[in-house]
Amino acid sequence: MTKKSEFIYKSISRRKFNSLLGSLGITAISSKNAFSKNKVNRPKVVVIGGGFGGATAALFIKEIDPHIEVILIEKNSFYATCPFSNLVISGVKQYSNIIRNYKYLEKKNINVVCDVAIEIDSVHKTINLESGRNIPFDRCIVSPGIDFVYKNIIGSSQKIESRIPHAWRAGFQTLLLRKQLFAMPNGGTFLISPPPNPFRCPPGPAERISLVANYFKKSKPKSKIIVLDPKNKFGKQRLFKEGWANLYPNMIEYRNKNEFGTVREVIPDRMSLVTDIDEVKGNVINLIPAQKAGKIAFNSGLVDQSGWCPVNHATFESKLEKDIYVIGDASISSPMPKSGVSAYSQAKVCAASIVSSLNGELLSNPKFINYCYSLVAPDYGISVAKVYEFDGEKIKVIERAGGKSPLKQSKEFRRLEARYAEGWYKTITKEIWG
Amino acid sequence: MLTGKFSAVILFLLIGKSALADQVRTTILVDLCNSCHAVAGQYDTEIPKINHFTEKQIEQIVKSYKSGKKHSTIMQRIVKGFSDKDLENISKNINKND
Repeated sequence: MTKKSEFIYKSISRRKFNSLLGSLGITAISSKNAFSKNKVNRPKVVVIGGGFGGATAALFIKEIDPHIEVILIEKNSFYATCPFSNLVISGVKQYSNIIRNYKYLEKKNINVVCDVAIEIDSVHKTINLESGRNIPFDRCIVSPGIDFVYKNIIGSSQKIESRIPHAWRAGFQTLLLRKQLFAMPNGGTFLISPPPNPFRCPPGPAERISLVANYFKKSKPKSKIIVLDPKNKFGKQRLFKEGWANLYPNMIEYRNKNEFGTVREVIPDRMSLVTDIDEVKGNVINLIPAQKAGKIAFNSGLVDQSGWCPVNHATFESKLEKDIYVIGDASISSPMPKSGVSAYSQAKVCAASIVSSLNGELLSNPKFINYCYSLVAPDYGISVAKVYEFDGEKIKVIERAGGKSPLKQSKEFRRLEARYAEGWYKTITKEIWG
Repeated sequence: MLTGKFSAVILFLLIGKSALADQVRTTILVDLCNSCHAVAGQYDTEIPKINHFTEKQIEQIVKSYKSGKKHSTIMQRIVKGFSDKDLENISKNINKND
């Protein structure tokens, strides 16, 4: 047992907590609730997706009720974290630094199945896998992350990503974008177009711009960055702009919706993006498309017309399918942003509500948190934090709390927040992937 | 792990449904703290370690962030989202060792 889980047990006094949780499991079997229908008398929760949301949910269910059988379906044998991937793109960290695997989850008695979930059959309560296997479940948690919408921009498709990557899911494209930036001549232009709302990691594009600027400043100081943002504002805007003015004067040309309208077309052969008013060229182009819920959510009837999954905010059970829960980026959890910490926070509440649903009782007044560090430079961090609660109907922001780092702070303040970003990354990834 | 049906039912009756949900709720709150501060400070980061504080010290610290008497980079923004009762539960459980 790691100190982490040891701690959780200790937090209530180990014996008492184990007994408590034992009582949950036992009550499950003896109750009239759904889990008791399971023939082998061992309730089975299947989690789809091994990211911040899915892996946390799988672990937390096991922790609060070891009696439940937990299966995690994940298409890769490793996980590349989106947090800190901008440090890889900009050459500060290596790709290996953001890679995690599932051995720790296996040690925690989670059955990790490396396969692609194609569709959830909600009638027969089974999940159809690419390999042809079917996995039955009592409860299913879907945490598939994002997929991309190409139809709004002419020429945009998965096919062009080997030349014009989005790198908005960490992985091969993270390395590709890094390689392209490394190969770019000094004096070249990095052209980046962030996505329209809503999308994964709202401060992510500005962090990427910052860290690429940091790389240029050191290695290619004549280079510049042009940003075509199809929105008029972005997360932590004033803090980023303050940092850019101090650290990267004259390097970043930020154009917003009011200035150019939308990006209408991408022309890979000309290495350009066409806006409502002009054509802009780049030596390296990072076009980040609009986003929607991951494919499994579409295949399984979990999305509404918005392209995302409506859920009950107290439990994260889908509003469209019973006994199927959606957490993380794919869920409609506004006002919570689509972030790793949001997914982590939702996963805990979702896991607890699945376990406690056996007793027909919900967690009272669950609280959620999102805090998010961004790096303007490797030693210059800024943050935003918000606390949320379920108000009986939906998640709402607790207005008296939260907020962003203040403007006009000392170098030491920014350095500390950069170190805290690093500390957070280390701690949360250790908790989830060991 | 399982304590047997009979004792479990007794326990369940003694503790009651909402007490159980409250315990899980507190565990989640404590986890949110530890997603940065780590458990028992075993990870080597610059995030302030809190494992050496007593329950009373923790309670005093978080309440002074809440009242605005104490400042850090981020803590005052976070603790204001929690009731005094939440903060007391967190303080009681965060460094519990038995």
